[in-house]
Amino acid sequence: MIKEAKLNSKSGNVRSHKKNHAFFVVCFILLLVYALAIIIPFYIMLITAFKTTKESMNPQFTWWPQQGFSFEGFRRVLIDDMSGGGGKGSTILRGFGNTMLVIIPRVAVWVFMSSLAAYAYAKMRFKAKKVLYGVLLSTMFVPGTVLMIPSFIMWDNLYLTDTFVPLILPACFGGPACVFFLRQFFTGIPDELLEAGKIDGMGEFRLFLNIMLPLSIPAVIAQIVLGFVNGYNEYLGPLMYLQSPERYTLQLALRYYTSTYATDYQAIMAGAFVALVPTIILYIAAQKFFIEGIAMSGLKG
Amino acid sequence: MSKKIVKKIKWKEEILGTTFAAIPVFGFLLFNIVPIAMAIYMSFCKVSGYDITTATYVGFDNFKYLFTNENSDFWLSVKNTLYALLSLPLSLCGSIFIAALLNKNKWMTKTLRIIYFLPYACSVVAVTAMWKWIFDYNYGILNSIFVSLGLGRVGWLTESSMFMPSMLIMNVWSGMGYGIILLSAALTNLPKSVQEAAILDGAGPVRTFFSVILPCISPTIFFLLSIGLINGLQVFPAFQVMAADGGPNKAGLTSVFFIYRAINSNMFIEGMGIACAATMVLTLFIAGIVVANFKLQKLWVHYD
Repeated sequence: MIKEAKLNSKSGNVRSHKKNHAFFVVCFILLLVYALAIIIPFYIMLITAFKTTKESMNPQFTWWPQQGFSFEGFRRVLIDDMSGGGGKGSTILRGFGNTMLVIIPRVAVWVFMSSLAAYAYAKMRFKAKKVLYGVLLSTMFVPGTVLMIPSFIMWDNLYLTDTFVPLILPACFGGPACVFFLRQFFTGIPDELLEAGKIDGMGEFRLFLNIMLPLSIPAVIAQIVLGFVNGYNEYLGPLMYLQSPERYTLQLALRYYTSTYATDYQAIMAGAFVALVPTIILYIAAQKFFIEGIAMSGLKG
Repeated sequence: MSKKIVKKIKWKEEILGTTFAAIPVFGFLLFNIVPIAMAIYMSFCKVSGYDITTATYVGFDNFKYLFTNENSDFWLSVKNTLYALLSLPLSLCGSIFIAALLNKNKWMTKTLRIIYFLPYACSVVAVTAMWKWIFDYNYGILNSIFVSLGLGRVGWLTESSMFMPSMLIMNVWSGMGYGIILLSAALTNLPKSVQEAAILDGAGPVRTFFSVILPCISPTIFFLLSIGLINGLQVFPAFQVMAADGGPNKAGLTSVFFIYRAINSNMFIEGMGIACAATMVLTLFIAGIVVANFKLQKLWVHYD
């Protein structure tokens, strides 16, 4: 009897194990199908960029270039000037340069100011702390587009539209989400480490710079990567404020480029691909920081 | 003597702390409160061009124009925005499903997660260009497949009834990654004992999921819903890139697109006063929805 029961339970185990196995395989297949659904559009973009113009305009879509690989699309991306000639060089490359001009100072100052404020909220004692933090967090709920028209008018009346100032200056005071994220991280760093610095006679600013920041490098990098990718992909701000094609940031230049080429998809896909490469590389290289940064700031929000 | 020094240090900390902490708040006041005040003022004014000095008070005329003038596209834009908001429940359900599968998955979970999140790191302009190509009437892959299956071509972006469904496909495709990351983080943090207890009580996997796991991750779902509502009511960039003129029969003219037209000189129709009035209506609408969402959370969100 005991034997039978043992046998029964054993066979039951085997069955449930088999069932489990089938369940895991089905799970995995479903996940794989979804992963393909994400990847296939990227593949279509890439393969179109490498086709000849003639083949890309073939009504029967081909999954592999039948007429051989063509680099014509990429050549155009790197050479074509859409701003009405003048020999100023590639619209896309100039857009990339403009984007860097905007986001490098912006992200640097943004992260620095945010972390300074986060340090104050995490480790310093002052009376207005609660009130200021409440105001700061509530700003996350202001819908951005509400500010679209009045901000535009404000900058226009200051004669600062069609410059980079409206794209850089507002971010230079730090952002609420970044302060919130870094404050969480700073709070977790033990006070004793700061006390040691205090005894050595460090001021608050030195404490922040020499002790807090070096201890928080992963969190700061996560915010820099996020700020960089967001700034690189920003479209609405440049669309509103920049009018002259020579000042277009990359996304605006890409938009301009794609609408100029209209239906020449080989050139358009090459442009889109070139514009995507830096973020995709940065994303994959820093995906640990990127995904964890988002999961953390989102979960605790 | 030493007491004096301690007091001095405390004062220094008070001043420095307030300064450090106040910088982002100051930035917010400068670049948000000033424009918001201007928008409120201008929504009751007639403004010629962009010049704020020409503003003259006209009472509620701008609001009246929005709601009653037959040339006003405002109602249409509200309708389109609500239609576009359908992508929120779709991508939310989709990301709950994928995150639940991912939580049970044994193989390549890290790689899959990177792939799922990829569209989030990509720019709207590039992603929209990509989908415009997929949806292309003559040469796009979708119509190519339809034709080889013996079906006719579909005007994904050229027919006004198909434009929004096509945009929904694209927005769900690019919007699910964020939810998957947050939800799968929430699922990983769930204590195993909770699920085991449910299984011991005889609940099947589906029952366990709906009665135990789903309530446990409801705070994350609520967070995604709140963010999704705020962002979803402001959809615009993807629509502007897909169809700069607003799409067939203005099927892609969302509320923010309507507002944006005021600063685009080629589409300058309504003028700043009316755009600001539309901004105010949209803001109040978003605020109402956010507040309602917060009030309703008591019914279904469980904070342990």
